[in-house]
Amino acid sequence: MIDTDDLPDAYKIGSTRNQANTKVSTLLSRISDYAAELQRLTADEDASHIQDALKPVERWYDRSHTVEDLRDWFESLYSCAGTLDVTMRKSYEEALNTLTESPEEVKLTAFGDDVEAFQQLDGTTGPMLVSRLHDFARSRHEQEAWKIYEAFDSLISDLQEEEHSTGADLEHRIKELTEYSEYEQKRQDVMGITEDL
Amino acid sequence: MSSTQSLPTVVEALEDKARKKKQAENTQYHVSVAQHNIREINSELDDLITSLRDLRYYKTVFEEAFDGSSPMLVSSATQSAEKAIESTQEQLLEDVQSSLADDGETELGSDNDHDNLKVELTPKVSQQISKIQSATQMVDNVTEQIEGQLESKQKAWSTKVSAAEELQKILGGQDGDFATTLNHMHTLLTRKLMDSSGSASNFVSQWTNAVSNWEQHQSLQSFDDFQEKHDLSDSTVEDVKTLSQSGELTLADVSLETIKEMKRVDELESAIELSL
Repeated sequence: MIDTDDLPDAYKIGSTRNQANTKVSTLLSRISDYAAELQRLTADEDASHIQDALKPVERWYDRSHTVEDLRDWFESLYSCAGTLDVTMRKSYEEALNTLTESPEEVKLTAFGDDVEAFQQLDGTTGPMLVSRLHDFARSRHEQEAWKIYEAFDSLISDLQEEEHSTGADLEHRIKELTEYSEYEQKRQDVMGITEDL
Repeated sequence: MSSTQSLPTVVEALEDKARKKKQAENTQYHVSVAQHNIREINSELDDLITSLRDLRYYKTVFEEAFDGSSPMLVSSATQSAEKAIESTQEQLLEDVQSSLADDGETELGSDNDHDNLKVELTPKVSQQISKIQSATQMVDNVTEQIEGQLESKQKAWSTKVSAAEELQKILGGQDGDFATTLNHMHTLLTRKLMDSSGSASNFVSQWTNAVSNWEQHQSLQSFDDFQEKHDLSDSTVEDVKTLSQSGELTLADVSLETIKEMKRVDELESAIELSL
């Protein structure tokens, strides 16, 4: 802790030209304020955007995933979206584009390390947390994997929301047609008349 | 959303879901094709049934009311109708699907939309339709033959009924019961006989009754029968016909024999009036 009360006002900070008129206590209290502010930073309140970004990742990410896996799976889901009439978001197209056109930008290994680090933010405070916040911004910027897993999460959720249609058995459906029973009725009619003839 | 599911598991589940939807869409399409096919058959069957009903009507009337003997072709037309409906519902179920055999696996993403395809008849259904059509044609042909023969019967009876009506007119319609029968026969011949929408058995019973009444009045069926029954001379018959046409004769024109004959027959005695 810094206690500026003990400092006589005579201590000034300045350059040799301007006669040093900033009191040392003022400088120190500013530093103190800054340090106190730093100490007040908590992972819970000031890194909630990291927690949010981690949620979809934690749902789907696994160290065993390869970029090829991700590309195959995303392509599958993408064509399912067409069949299930899911509205295409721009983020889906971008994710598919990255996976197929520039897979080197996904950077899964670095991403995996970062994810693990960001998962251990609990209790991190002060300058350490500030450093983590910067790391996160860098990580998101450098690794497309973040956007890929977000796209997965959102697309999966869209697909799961779609009504599940049941394709009843074809023969069963034909048997339920009015025309199908009418045919038998008409057959009976013909047989009835030919018996009279 | 379950967080215990791994990404590949979820992808697989969603693929399955999409595949099922695709299958459902295919099913819907195939159901429409089947429906269209059955409708076409049913519509042909409607025609066949109408033709068969006509045949049944004319054949019944011809045989039972007019003692006609139907052409042999009736049985072959009937057989072809029976052959045309040999396919049971179960068979039909197969027939309307026969074009789907080469459908293969439902692939996701492949855009095999059927919306633009023209719905066509399956080969089996086309076959059955032509069977039904040719049966209908045979039935129509034999019906036409019977109709032709019925028309000759109708013509002959119309001539007979007209002669009897003519006699009734001369005799002044003294036999009310027979006049009613003649009137009824006239209606049956001109209006009911060729109307196949009516009931054949109804026609047969009405006609049979009328004919039995007709037979009870043999002497009133024509002038010849009348002359024969009352043993009238030709000159008397001539004079009665002249009276019925011009309405008058002088006594000078009529022989004593004729006047005697006229007096002898009750119907003539009461029908002929003298006037001054």
